[in-house]
Amino acid sequence: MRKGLLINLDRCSGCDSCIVACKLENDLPLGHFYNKVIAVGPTGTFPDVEKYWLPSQCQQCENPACVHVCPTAASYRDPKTGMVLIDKEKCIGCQYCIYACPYGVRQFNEDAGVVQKCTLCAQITADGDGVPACVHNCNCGARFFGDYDDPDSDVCRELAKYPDEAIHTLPDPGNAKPLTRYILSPKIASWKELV
Amino acid sequence: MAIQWPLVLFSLLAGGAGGLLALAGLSELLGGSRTVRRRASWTALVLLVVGGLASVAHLASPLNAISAVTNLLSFSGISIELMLLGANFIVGAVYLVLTREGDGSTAAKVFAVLAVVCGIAIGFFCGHGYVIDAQPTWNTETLPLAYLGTALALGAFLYALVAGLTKKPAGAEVARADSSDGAPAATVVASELGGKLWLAVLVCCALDAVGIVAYGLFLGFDAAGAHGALFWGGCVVVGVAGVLACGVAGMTAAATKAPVPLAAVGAVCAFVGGIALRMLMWAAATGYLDLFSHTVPSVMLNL
Amino acid sequence: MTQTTLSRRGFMKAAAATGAALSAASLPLLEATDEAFADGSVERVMHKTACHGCTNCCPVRVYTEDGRVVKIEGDPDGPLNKGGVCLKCLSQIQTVYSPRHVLHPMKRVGERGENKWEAISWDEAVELAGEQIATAVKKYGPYSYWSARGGGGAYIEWETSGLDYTFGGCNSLASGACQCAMPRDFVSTTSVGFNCCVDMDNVDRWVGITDNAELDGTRRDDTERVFVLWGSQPHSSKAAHGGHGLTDARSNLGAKTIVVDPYLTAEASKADVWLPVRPGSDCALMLAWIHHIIENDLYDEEFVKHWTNLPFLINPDTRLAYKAEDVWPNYVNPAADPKGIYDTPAYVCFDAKTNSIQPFPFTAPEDCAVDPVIFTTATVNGKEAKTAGQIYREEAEPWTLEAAGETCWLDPERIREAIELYANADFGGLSNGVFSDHQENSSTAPLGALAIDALLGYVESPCSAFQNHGAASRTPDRPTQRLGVFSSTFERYGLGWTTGLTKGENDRLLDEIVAGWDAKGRDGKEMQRYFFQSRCDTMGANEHKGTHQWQTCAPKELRLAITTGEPYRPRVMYEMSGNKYAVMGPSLEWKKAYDQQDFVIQQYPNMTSFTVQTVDLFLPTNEWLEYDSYEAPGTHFNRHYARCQVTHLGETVNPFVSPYQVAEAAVEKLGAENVFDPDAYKVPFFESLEAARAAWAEQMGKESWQAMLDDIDHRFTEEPMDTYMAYYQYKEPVSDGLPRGFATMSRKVDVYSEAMLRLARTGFPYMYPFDQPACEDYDPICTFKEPTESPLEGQPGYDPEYPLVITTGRLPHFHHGTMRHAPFVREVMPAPELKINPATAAEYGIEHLDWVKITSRRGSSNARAYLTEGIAPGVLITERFWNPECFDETQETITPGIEECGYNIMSADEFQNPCFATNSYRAFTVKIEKTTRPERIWIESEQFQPFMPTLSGEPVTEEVF
Repeated sequence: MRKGLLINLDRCSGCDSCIVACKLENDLPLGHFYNKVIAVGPTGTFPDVEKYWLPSQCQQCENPACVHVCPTAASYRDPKTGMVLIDKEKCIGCQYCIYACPYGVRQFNEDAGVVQKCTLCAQITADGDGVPACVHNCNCGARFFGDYDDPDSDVCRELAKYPDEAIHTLPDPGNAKPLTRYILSPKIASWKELV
Repeated sequence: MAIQWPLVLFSLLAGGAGGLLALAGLSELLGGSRTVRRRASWTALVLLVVGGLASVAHLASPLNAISAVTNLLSFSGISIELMLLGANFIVGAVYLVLTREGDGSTAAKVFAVLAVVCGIAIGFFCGHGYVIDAQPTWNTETLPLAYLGTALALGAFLYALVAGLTKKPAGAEVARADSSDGAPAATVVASELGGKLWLAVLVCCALDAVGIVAYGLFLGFDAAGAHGALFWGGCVVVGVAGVLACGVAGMTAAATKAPVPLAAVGAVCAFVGGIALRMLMWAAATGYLDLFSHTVPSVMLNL
Repeated sequence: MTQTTLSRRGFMKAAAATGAALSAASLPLLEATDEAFADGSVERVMHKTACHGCTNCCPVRVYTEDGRVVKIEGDPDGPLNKGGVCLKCLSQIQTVYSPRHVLHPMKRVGERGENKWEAISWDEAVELAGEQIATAVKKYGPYSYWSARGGGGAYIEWETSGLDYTFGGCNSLASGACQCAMPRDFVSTTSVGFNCCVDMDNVDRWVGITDNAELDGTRRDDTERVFVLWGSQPHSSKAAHGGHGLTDARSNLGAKTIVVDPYLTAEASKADVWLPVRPGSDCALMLAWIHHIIENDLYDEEFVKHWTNLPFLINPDTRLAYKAEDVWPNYVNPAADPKGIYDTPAYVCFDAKTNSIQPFPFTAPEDCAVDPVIFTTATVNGKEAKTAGQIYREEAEPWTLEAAGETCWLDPERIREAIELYANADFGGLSNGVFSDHQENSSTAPLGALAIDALLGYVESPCSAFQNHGAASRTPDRPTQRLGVFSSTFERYGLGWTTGLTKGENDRLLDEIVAGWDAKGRDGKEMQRYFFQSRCDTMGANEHKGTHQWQTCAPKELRLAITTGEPYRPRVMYEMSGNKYAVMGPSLEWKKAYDQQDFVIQQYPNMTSFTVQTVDLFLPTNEWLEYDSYEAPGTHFNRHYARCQVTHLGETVNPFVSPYQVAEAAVEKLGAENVFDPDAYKVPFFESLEAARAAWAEQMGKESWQAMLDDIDHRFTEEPMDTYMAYYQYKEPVSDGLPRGFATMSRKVDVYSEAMLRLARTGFPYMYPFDQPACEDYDPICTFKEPTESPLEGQPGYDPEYPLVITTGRLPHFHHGTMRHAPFVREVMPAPELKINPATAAEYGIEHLDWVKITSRRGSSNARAYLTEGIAPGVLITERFWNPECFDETQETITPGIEECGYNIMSADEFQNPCFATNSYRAFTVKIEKTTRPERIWIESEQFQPFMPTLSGEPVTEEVF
């Protein structure tokens, strides 16, 4: 099982709803985030420009660097669901996973002394039901959650609607194998590698 | 990225301690003063403890260190560093025990070899943990090389300093050294490592220079130069030129005339250079795709 | 968490200092969620309601534990939002427990601006409010009372007139109305016969379907469907609602979009064609579209000939269409109602079959005896008369693609690409966004948008903005239309013409109303006359008669009346809408007016900088989560949702109840016999929440409010889908054997707006049977006038000192002046952004995120530079109703905030739209310079800590009324 997010950038309007939905669901204080929405562009020169939004959070790597560097196995990939999680009881706050994450989507919580990141709302999704708050509340229906190995899951059904040229992953600096897929059709904007 | 001072200090102090132990091991194998070796080993143990404490300061809570220790077998970069920290401490301590009554035992020789191996390894692996895909400015073997070089240079100068400060070797017999009491510092120093201490120092200085320059070249002068004072001042002028100058001076009459000041200046240069290199590493860290580093509004312009 | 250490802030502390009994444990929001899950001892209860954060009222599920709200999420059953909700909605879990949410009536005890308050009882508050109103009315007459309202998401809109006419007052200042939707409402109501302004940048059509079967998101045919979003931002103004629908249309049904907007909005970034029009030049571009459509025969000839008034010959003297009887006095109109109730006039056209002018009665196209020529000139009664089409054609004549390209700063080829994509579509619809309601072209741009769609036949067709829904509009008889829904008081006093009825029938209806007053012991004629006179005395209502549409007054004229005392000075204000400094410009000038008020009452859920600076008595009303209502808005596609109280804190009151209480107290003091209409306030307002609930339940066709609540999955009314989507209703035959047509004077689409002319000359249809004094004619068609302040050298309005043109747009983060005190919203949008082209920024040495001081001829404010190639050099855009709400005990000084960051300090009311008195919030000119961050402005996350919830430990309380 490989549970993760799929984000359709053809649909995303950069409204920031997912950020607040996440913060409220996960009780994150001011200054703390599990996700952010980054405007990519506009690129080009007025008026020949293009732009898209890149909602960013843990990419649920299949071979996660954060897990490899963790000295206490606090960062782990759940063998059942494939979800990359942090066991806060085990985290010693060494922050090596923050350095090792290729996408910079982990934050150190000074108060708790642990590293935190998107949990795919495990408190909601752990029992196999329900979707993360960012997916549920997405204004444009741009976010999908499910098992990449299950052709009937929301993510696979949405992916199936698009040709390969419209399906992207964030660039991988090594062999992290990010699971999260982004849909961006060339007619909306060209995918930027950002590195 | 913010400079992580505990890690900067830890890696240099522990690496320097490794360097000290390695030279003590060489002295055991090649010949030198037992007193110097024992004092160097004691110094190394102190540095290992101080370095270890510094690394604990990096954790959210000092008690968390226990968790790290209990999960040693994860073979993450940190656990390798921890293992080597422990190994060096044990090797140093055992060596001290073995040489309490005298030296020359086979066991001491075995631990001398272990000291050389472990001492070099810790310097290298304290840098090797940072060789990760997610940090393009760290993802190079020149980084652990520079960590090793700076650590060895520091260890070597500290060893020379310890030797220089050891005017009267303790214990009855002084193998192959001037046996007269109150021998001049230069004499003690000169006799270390079978008379090749300054050569060993020079080798370490060369490694230091090679490591720093190699890492600098990897970063590129533009990226490295963006942190001008750190790179040009700390790394190049002090860490490379200063250290090399001291190392070369060790091969001249200066080593005989003023070994202690020379070793002290060398140690200071090596320390400053080692710190600067590590600071540069943190300062030059960009991340691969550092998505959360964008402030509000989160926007990537001018792609 | 750090919230545990926070005490209640600002006014609350000040209030406590003055001895008010206000105490509450400060519990952190959501702190206990995890534990609750863990031990399972606290029951989590699900509620269903609809959001009230803006006009769209998305259905949501709200969860409480021990009465405390712990979670909000979109209702997946919502037909449009499908579970999505925006950050405004989600953040109301923070605003309901915000330290700025007021739980008890507050009386000002310090000077205005000091933020010192005393908590008082509702009895005392109602007594004080009634006393102040009564005193002013007694001393200075009924016009001394005035009300303020509006802004869409505000709870009270047209209802203020109920209070105004209790005392006989006549000035109600709407933040919106002149500046929002009213102009588009007037144009669509008078020209198409129904109010589709709300739909214009709304909802249903964005689903993009051409057939109900396509509601499953699958196309049933390969037709080309094209939307034009003209200054329209559904992704910001209705992100989960129309924004979701538009996304579905684009992604699921392949609808194409053309976006006309100066800035690369979310909509523009996904558009097939983007036309970044120069702010203020839209009408020139519309005329170019019209020109290109006419000259290239792209129009829908059948529709234009038979369903619009463009073929009508226009009397050059009166500018009104000739009726057949004007030319042939004995003409017998075959469409005349033998019973004399319905009015279907016959007009005059030039007939291609006979090459002569002929009567042009209303018929089905296939029964039409003539072949009307749309664009021609003919001799009528000895005079050269043009058809309405010809008049339009000549107006559009100069606007070639090249001319429009030059004036609008566009590539002519791209204009052509847009027009041809749209004109050649199988189905199309143009969304005329709020842009035009914010500038001088507020009457002419909607006319242009109407002309484009009417020429192309995109009326009551799939995807059209001009869309009737449901069974109600499928009338059995010729359709009629009586004024706007926001002008209901006209009907109460027997004024106003019902379109579609004969004069005899109209007179009969009005006489009945007058007689009804007589029967109640009042002089009906006198009341009718008084009401007429008071409408004439309404500020600015003679020059700007379009304000009658929503029964508002002209903002500038009201402001000047207060500051100068001429012709009279309104003195006691009852404000029901929020931060007036944020939403009314020019705000510094307005502050002078507010400062001259004898007494200001405000009802609102939370204090704003307006409250602190201006208000004397604050009446706390419900936050949305405490709010019950079935008032419009609240529609999602075929459903109309009720808003259902989830919790209730302190002594907050439903906003439809407090005005009743205040009015009742004032009437008691004045004596019912001394006021104009002592029962007027009882029409829109309710004595108690119970009474309100009963009325709303009845409107919903439910036995009781509780019965409605009990059926938790159906807290809405619903029109079945098969009757909801009903296209081409105008073609269906009705009782007179003719097609239904439209509820307009001509029964056709009045592309040429005679309504504008009649309105200017007599105040028709509102003032019938009286004539309001005439003013200069309002343009009956789309015309282009360069904005009064122009960035074009050589134009009269050009001033090299103010070389840049500025406009505004909406963000999904805020609705009008609201949510500036929501910490998680402000964290991601802490300060206004000034979007600026890098080339322009470079001229001023401005870099990304530098602070910029923006100065218009009215004043200066500040924003952070956001460099982007998504806007033309020389053009600026920023969020429109910014207010930092930066009063707080953590700050050394308290200000209104507008001089730090407040767009409306720069906007203008000295140049207005003549018909609707629309202020110029867009398309004026400014200069800029680099500056530093203003004092008191927060930009870092942690700085918003004082906004974090502090009231979540408040007990759930009973209603006061």
